Amino acid sequence: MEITSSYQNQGKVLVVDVGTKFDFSKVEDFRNAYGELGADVSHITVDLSRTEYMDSSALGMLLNMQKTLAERELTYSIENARPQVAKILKISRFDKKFDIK
Amino acid sequence: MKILIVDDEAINRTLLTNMLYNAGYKECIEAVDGVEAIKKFTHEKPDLVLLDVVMPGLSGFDVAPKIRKLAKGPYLPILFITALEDKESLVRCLEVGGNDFATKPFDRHILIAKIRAHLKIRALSEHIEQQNKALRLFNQRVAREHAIVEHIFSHAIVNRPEVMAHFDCFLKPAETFNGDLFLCESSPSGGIYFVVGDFTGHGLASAIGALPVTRAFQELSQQGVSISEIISELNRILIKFLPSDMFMAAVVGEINAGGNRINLWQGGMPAVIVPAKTDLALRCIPSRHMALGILDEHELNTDCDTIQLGCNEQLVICSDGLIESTTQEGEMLLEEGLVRIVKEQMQTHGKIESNSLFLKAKEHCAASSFHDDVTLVVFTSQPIKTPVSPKMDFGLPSVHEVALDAQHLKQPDILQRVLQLAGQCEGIQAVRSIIYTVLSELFNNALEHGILKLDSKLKADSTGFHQYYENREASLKALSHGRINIRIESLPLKGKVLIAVEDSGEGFEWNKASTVGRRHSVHDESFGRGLPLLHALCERVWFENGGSKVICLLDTKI
Repeated sequence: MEITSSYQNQGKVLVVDVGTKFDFSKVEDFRNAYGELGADVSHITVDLSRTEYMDSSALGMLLNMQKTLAERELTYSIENARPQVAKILKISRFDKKFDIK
Repeated sequence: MKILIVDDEAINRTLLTNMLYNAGYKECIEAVDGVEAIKKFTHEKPDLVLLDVVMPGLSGFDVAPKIRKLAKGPYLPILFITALEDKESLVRCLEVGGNDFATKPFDRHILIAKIRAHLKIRALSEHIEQQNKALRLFNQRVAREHAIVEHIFSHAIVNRPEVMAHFDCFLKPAETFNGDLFLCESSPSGGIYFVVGDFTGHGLASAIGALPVTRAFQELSQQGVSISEIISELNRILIKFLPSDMFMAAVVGEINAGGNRINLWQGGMPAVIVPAKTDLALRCIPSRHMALGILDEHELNTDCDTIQLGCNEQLVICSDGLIESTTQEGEMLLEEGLVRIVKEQMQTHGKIESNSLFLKAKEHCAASSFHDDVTLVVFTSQPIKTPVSPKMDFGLPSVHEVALDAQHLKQPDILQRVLQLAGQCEGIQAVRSIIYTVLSELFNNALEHGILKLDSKLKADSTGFHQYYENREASLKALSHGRINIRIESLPLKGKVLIAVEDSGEGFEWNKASTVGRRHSVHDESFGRGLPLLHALCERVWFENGGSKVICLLDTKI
C-alpha cells in the first residue's frame, strides 16, 4: 500500500497516510508526500491508523520532515496510532515534537 | 388406454367396444352390472369409465360415487351413457361424480371426441401428478441438505459468548439462511475486532460466502493485524470465492481495550450512528468505500475512520434490510427515518436498545415481514473484558532460522518476508508490531552498518538523510559478498521471544556505540535512535562476536 496524501480544511491541513508498513522502504514516498507543499498549509497530520509497525528509520523520516520544513511555521500531529505503534512513539518521546492524538 | 364399459345390455356393450376399437382404443373391458363394475375397476384400473345409468341392482348413480372413492391418483373421467333426457337426470349424472354424459342413441363422433378430451385431461393430470411427486422428493432433499448446511453453519459461525457480551445485537434473517453476518473476536492487545456484513441477496447462496469470511476473520483476529490488513484479505477471499455478481457490504472495526476508540472501515453499508438527543450532537458516519469483493487489490482503499466514544456513548450499526423497510405506500425508512427514530428513543430512554429500535422501525413498515435480512448491532462504550484465547496460553514453541546471502539481501521485499516468518510464531500476537520493529531494526543495522558499512552521521541533516538512503541503495546493488543469519525463537510458555541477528561484518564497539545513542538524548537527531529504541523495547539486549551478533530478549506479555 502506497503513501497517500490529501489536503483538508481548504488546503490548510495536509494529511499523510503512511499505509501499513512505515519503514525505510518508504523514504522516497514519504518525502514526496510533503514535497510540493501547498502555500496555505499550516498543519501536517501524519495518519497512522493503518500502520502496523514502524522502525527507527521511520522516526528519522518524521524528524527529517520537520527539519526540511523548518522555515515554514507549521504545526504537526501524529494521529490514530495503534497501541504497539504508539508505544514506539512514546518510548522515543515524540510527543515533544509532535502533537500525538 | 384402458376403458371400462358398464352396461347391462350385451348389444350396447358390443356396440361401444367395436366403436372404441375402430377409434383406436383397443383395450376395452366390460362389466354387466354395478357390482362387477366395481370389482373390475379395482382389478383392472381403467383410465376411463363409460357408465350406463339404468341397470338392475346398483344403478349408475350408485356406482359412480363408489368408483370415484376407489380412484386414487390422477383425474378419472366417468362418462354416463343414458337414454334419460330430462334435465334433472342429466344434472344428477354430474352431481354423483360423473364428468360428462352422452345420450342414447349416441353420435359416434361426439362420443369419441368427448372420450379423447377427457383422456387428454387425464394425461395432463398424470403428468402433473408425476411432477408433484418429483417436487415432493426434491423438497425433501433440499430440506435435508439445508439441515446439514445449517448444522455446519451453526457450528462454524460462532462468536465466543464472552466477546459477544459486549454487543447488543438483533439479527433477523428473511429466510432460514442469513445473508447478514455478525462476527466478533477479541484482539491480542485486549480489544475487540468485529464485522457486520451483508451479502448481496439472501438465502443459502449469499450465506455460503460467510464461511470463508468467518475463517479468515478469526485467524486474522488472533494475529492482531490492522483493520486494513483484514479488509485486504477479506476482499481477496471474496473476489476469489464469489461469482462476480455477489459481494459483501461490510462494517469492519477494531475497538481498543479501553472501549472508547474504534477504527472503522465501512463499505457499502448504511451510515453508522453515534446516537444523541440533538441534531448537533448526533453523529452519522457514512460509508466511504464500495462493498468488499468488487474491487481488485490495487483499487481497494483501506482508509479507516477513527471514532472516539465518550462515556456511555453508543455506536449503532445496521444492515440495509432495516432502512429499506417500506410503508404500504412504498415509502422507505431510509437513514433519515432511522436517525429520527434513534433521536426519539434517546429522548424517551436515554439510550438505544437494539430490540426496541427494531420494533419502532417495524411500526413504520406496513408488511408484517421484512423483505431482506435485518441486522442491528449496538456497542456501548465500556472497557473490554475478554479472556485471551487458549491458543495464546498454550502456544507451540518454535524456532525459525534464516541464512541470507548477498543475493537474498538484494531482494526488495526481503525484510517483509523475514517479518512474515516471525509473524507466524505462536504466542507473540500481543507484541507482533513490537517484534516487527525490533527485527526491522536489527536487520537494518546488520545490513547498513555491518555489511554496507554506511555511516549514520550522514543522516544528521536533511540532504544527508536522503544521501544516506541513496548510498544504501547503490552499495546494496554493488554487493557481492555478505551474510546475515537470523534466528527467531518463540517460547510461548515462558512468554518470551529470543531474536538473534548476526552479520558477516566486522562488528563494532558496541559499548561505545550505545553511549553514542545516549549522548543524542536531545531527541531531535534523525539518526542514532535505533539502539536506544531496542533497549527500551526489549527486556535484554546483548552483543556477541565483537558486536557482529546482537541478541534481543522480548517479553510477549503486555
